[in-house]
Parts: sequence; C-alpha cells; structure tokens
Amino acid sequence: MIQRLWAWLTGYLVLKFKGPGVEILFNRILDADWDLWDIERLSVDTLIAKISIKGFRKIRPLVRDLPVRINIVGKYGFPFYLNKAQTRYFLFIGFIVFAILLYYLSGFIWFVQITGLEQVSKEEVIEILIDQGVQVGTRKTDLSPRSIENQIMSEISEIAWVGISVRGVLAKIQIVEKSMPDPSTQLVGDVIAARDGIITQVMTFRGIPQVRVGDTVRKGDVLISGEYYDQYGRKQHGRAEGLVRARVWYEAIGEAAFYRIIQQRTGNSHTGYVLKIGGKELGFRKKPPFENYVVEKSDWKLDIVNGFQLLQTTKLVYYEVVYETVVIPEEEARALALMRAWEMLEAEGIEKHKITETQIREYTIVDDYGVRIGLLVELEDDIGAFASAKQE
Amino acid sequence: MAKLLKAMTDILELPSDIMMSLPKIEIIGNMEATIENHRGLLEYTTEQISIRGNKGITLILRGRKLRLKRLYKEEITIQGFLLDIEFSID
Repeated sequence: MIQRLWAWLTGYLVLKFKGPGVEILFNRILDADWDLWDIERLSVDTLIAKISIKGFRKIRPLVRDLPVRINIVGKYGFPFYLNKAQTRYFLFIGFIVFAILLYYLSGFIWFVQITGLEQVSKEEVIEILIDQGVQVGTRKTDLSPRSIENQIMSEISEIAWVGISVRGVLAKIQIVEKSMPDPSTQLVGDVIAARDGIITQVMTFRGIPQVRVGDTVRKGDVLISGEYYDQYGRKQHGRAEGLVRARVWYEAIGEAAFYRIIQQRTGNSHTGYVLKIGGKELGFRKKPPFENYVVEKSDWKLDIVNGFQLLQTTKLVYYEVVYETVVIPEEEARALALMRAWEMLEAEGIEKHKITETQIREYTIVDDYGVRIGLLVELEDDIGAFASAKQE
Repeated sequence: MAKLLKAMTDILELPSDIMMSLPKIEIIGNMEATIENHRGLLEYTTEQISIRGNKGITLILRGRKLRLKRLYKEEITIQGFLLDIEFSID
C-alpha cells in the first residue's frame, strides 16, 4: 500500500518489452538496484512491466547491446498529473483566483451574532453597532473591538459588560446586562390592615410590630411600622415586611322571591304591513286589538344606493300575551337565595370548599314575598397589605 | 567450511536463511509465492518461472497465468495459480 502510494507520488511508467532475452535485462536492472513490478507476459516475446521514472532513465544504457525494444505504454502518477495541469492554464488561473478571492473575502465580517440580550432591545444595540461600522461587509481590520465595546457601554446604561470577538467571518457580540433591582422592593413603608379583624398571629420580618395577638384592628390601621431609630437615635424610614393573620368576617345576603311572572302567548295574532318609499312612511298601521302583545318584525328592503332605501316593506305580527304569576315553592326560593349569597362571597375571593361548617352563621328572614338569607363567614386570613410611605 | 557453518547454525539454532543466505520461500495457498535471497530471474513465462538461488540452487515454479507482482533486488513475488515447485542443484 505504502509502496503503491510512493510510486504514484514519484511517478511511474508502464513499459512494453519486445524481443528475446528480457530476463537478462531484468537481472541487469535488479543488479543496478531498480525495482520492477506488475510484470505480465502478453505473448511469447512481449512483456509489460512498471518502473519508476528514475529507474527508466537508468535502464537505457543497460539495454543497448540486447535485442530488446522498449516502448512506453502509459505514464502515471503525480508528476504527470502536474504536467497535465500546466497545459490547462485556465484551470490553474481559476484555482489561484479562487484562492485569492477566498482569502480576500475572509477578511470581511459576514455574520453578526448578538447574545445575552433580555431587557435591552436588540435594535438599540444594532443601531450603535452600525454607527460604529459593525455590519455585514465590514473589513475585519477596520474593527476596533475595544472602542466599540466602550461605546455600547456608555450609550446603554443597562449593560454591564460587552465582549466583541471576531472568529473567521463571524463577529460575536456578547452582552451582559446589569441586573436591576425590582423597584417595588425599594419602597419604604408600613404593613397596614386590609380589613377589620382580630389579630391571631403576627410575624415580623422587618420593621416594628404595632399590634399584638388579640387586638382588634380596623381597615387601614398600621400593623407593622417601617419607621425605626438607628444607633444614633435618628428616625429612619424602612420597608416593613411581615405576615399578620387575623380573624375576619365576610357577610353576604342572598334574596329570592316566592313569585315569578311569566309571559304566555294566547295564540291570537294580528298582522300589519308598513310601506316606506324614499324614507317616507305610508301607514297602513292599525292599532292591534290586544291589550298586551309582543311584536315580531320582518323587513324587506330594496337598496339602490348604499344607505338610501328606495322601497321598504315591514311585516308586523302582533301576538296577544297574558301574564301569569307562578308561585315558587319555599324550598326552591331558599336554595336560590343561599346560592346567590355564596356567589357574592366567592366574588370576594372566598373558596367555599375551604370553609368548615363551624365558621358559617346563617340567618333567614322570610316574609310574604320572599326569603332573604344572610351568610356570615368567619375565617383566619392574612390581612397585611403594604402601603408605601410618602417620601419626605 | 560449509559443513562447519551448517553445524554451527544447527547447534546455535540460528535462522539458516540468514546464516547461509539460502533462498527463503513463502507460499500463500496456491496463489502467491515470495522468494527472498534470490540471485536473479532465469526464465519467465506464464507457465514457468525459474529463479536462481545461492549455492547452485535453481527454483522452478510451475503454474498457470503466472505474473511477477514484484521484481526487487531482495525479493520476488509471484502471483497466479501455482501447481508445483521444483529444486534443482547443479
């Protein structure tokens, strides 16, 4: 394998030997230390063999006194390949032009990649980059990454670090943003009561508690104060944080009537028509012969121009109706009232399935017309709410 | 002298091809034969190849479609269908 490769690299010839006494010539070649390979006898006086280019040059004097004729049948290997290439000027020129072009084009930025952006908009960064000349088609030698980095840092304050690296034709711009603290946690203020209640638990994380367990508080009372005195005795404003739980009450009232009025058609009807020409009404409208009725309208229109009605007929059907009062059984009314009361509580954010029976007080008022159910729910809830102090 | 050399190689168990520069023949199946320590090609046809060795030994390989894969100063490789090998000593 290695020998074959070496033979190809240095070049070899396929020779045809014709005449008697080829063996003598072969022995002379061997004695001169030149190798032959792939020897084949084609006919009684003809042989082919392969020999290296160098070896071929040296065998000429060896063959002089022998009745052997040598012809070159084929030339193989890299040196001949190179010779061939020399005759193909344009292939060669094309290759060189390609190489030069590749080298030249690799001197430009072809891709710009920006990573690490979260808060800052990409357009903002791209604008600065274009200003600084970083874009597709910029020569790499024209770039000065350090000054561009500084420019971006100075123009966008939210950026903590910028790294620009050019790898081949890719300009990589890595950006690290400053992590801005959430402004809401920066505020100073107190924890106040969101609703009335009796305190059951006070857990202070920051600040000075103003209430104790068992205290009754009203909505808006300060539960934990953010004000404190520092080691020099000066009054300071801080942010109070904590958990204050209290027994609170929610009340809701649901009502339901014992009667319901239902509209019912008697089956009698009366039909009338109205004709409109050019917006003017030509009435054939007669008063319907019923005291209570509902009307069903159906129009037929002829539009000439958009919006202007040339001709319109309206069919009016009057149906006679009577009103009936239906009595709702008390049980049904109670259930409806209770459901409405619960709906009100749930609208306030109370989850029904979390409340135990003992926490609910129910009272019912019944009169001739309906039923009213009041629900009083007692539960323990977090009543603390943060109220930011006014900055002085 | 030759007897002494042979006795020595036998006693010392030295490789006789190197000590006495006799042809070393390596045969793979009936397809390929490699002869080292040769002293030249005497005859080459597709049916018969004669190779001269040291000490008057002549090697005759017979077969069909024989060809010389390698003809180097140090070795000869023959490929084809080998039928027999004959030694003749002058």
